[in-house]
Amino acid sequence: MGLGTKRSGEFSFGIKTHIYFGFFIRFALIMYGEHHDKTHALKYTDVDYHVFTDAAREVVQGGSPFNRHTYRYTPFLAFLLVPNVKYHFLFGKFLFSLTDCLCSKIIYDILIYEGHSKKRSIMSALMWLYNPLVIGISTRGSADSIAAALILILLYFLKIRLPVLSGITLGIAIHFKLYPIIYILPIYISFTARPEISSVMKKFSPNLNKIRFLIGTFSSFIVFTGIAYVLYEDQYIDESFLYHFSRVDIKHNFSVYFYLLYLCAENFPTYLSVAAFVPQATLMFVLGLKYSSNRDLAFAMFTQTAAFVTFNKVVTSQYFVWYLVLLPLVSTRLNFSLRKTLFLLTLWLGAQASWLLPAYLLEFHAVNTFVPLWLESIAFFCCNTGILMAFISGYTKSLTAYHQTRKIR
Amino acid sequence: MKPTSLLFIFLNLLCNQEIYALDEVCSVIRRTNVQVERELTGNGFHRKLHTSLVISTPVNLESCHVLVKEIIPSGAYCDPNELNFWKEFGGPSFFIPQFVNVEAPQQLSPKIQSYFFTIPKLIKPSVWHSNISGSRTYALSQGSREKLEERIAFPHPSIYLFCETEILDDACVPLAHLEPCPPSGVQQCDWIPINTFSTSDWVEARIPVGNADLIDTVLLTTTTVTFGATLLLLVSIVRNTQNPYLFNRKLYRLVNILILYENL
Repeated sequence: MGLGTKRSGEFSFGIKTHIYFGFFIRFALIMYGEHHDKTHALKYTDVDYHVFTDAAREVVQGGSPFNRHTYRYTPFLAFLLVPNVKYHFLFGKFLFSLTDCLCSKIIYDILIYEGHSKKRSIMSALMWLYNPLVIGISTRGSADSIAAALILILLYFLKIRLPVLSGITLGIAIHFKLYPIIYILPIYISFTARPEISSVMKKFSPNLNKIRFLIGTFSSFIVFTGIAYVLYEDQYIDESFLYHFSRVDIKHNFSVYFYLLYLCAENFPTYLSVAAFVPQATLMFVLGLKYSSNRDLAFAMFTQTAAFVTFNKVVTSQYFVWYLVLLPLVSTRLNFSLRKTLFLLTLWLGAQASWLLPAYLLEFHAVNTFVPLWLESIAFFCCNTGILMAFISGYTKSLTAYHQTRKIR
Repeated sequence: MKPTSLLFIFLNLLCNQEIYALDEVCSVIRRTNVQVERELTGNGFHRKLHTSLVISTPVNLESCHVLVKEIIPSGAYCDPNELNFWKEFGGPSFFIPQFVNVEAPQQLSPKIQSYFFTIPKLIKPSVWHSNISGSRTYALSQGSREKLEERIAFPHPSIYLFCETEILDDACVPLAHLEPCPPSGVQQCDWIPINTFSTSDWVEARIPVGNADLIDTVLLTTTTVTFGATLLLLVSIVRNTQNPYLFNRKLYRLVNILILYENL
């Protein structure tokens, strides 16, 4: 604990100490998970972790990771988890936990770069590091922390204005998880000089930085996707890309569309797919357009991701990590009182908890709770919409443009 | 006919089993009976199927394998990947010749032919025991207009015996079935079918299904809610569009006009 610092009567730890402690918590939970899995019928380890490991085993045996049914990720994830098979089954969980801790460090660095105080930056980084949902997800073996780290690295490069590296990172992130494709619009516009006052034409017209960014994005995406395609051909395209467009998941999940999809599973009309896609796409576009200033990019990405997840046809708790990783970065610009913060937090957690009750009764006790579950999904959706509206109205937009333009005039 | 033979026929009739003419049947089949008891543990969609075999036979089964051949009904599945995982922790060897789609709803999921291999253990003289568990099921069913519950019945499996040493007499050879060999099921072996009996006809799981009568209500409500939420969010975004620069530029122009007016 020698890294603790004492200043003006208060005692606080540095980010490194917190990261060590955060990793220790994760280590303890991974160990507990091992014990839990051996002694309980309901397992701690995520089913996806077994999928990753089986895919890695297929790779070790010289086969395709896509031979493992339900493996729908990049083959590089299976390559990354080969030590799961060769050395120890827990390797991946430690890797995801380390990536989690790395995310905290990047959040801290971005906030310091933005000029926030050390204390404020640490407090924000801890929102991620000690977030129970995040800890649970990485120690159960979900790979979402890798996508989260890529998004944060992307934001870091954007902060220090490196268009090619930003593009390369975004290309990798899109290859890895597909959803970061929604970030192309705000990032592209952010390379416009003074996007707040530019006309729509000017926002979309290319400049050198925009071209560099796009080249970086497309080249890295094409290189990684190309290698995967060369290795696994159509099987890779079918499982990693096409599946996500044709996916009709009838297992209950947080999505407002789940019951509708369940009831129409056998013959899902195309117009419903369009009806589900239009609101999502509209919001992605409008949010991306509005918060496209470089200083607002984190908020653009946060709101886009939150809207994307809220309006998605399938929503699981892993998806929350996609926007939670950006929350520490936008929290510094939210004009929320403590009471409002606690209210919104309670609302979000309460809506999830009340959804979980009928879901638990359905899945583990075979009680027919489809209708209550559907109503809970609607309530959770409304709650997420309300919270997103509160974020939009409580967000303090960048003032940099205002000061600059005043000087010019 | 000897009284013991009569007793055997009676027992077989009692247990609803196929009766073989004793003089034509191989001694292993004639003298072996398996009590199959099954249980579905767990609740809801996650069930675990346990199969307990009590084999009564004077034959030494030390070098023998037991095959449990069963059909997993449509709507339920056993995930081969999960079974492979449990095999490392003492789960049974198995062979599933077909692709198992663990995401398909009942209407789209086929029956699954599965083979589980186990080695019996002697528990008392002439009585051997074997357990198979780990065959997990996750049943999914689509909405229905008739009922709010779907019944998935697991019929009893067929049991076969395969011994590496020659314990079978000539009468057994014509009765042998070609079935997958343990442990991987890649090759085929000659298995001898064994008479079985059980205290129940089958085990069944009942899983809830959605109410398809509600489809119009669900469709209308869901689309209304999502479109309403989209509009609210768009209004919220537009309402906050008044960025400091634009607002001050208008103010600046207004002030300029006022100054100009005063100067005039």
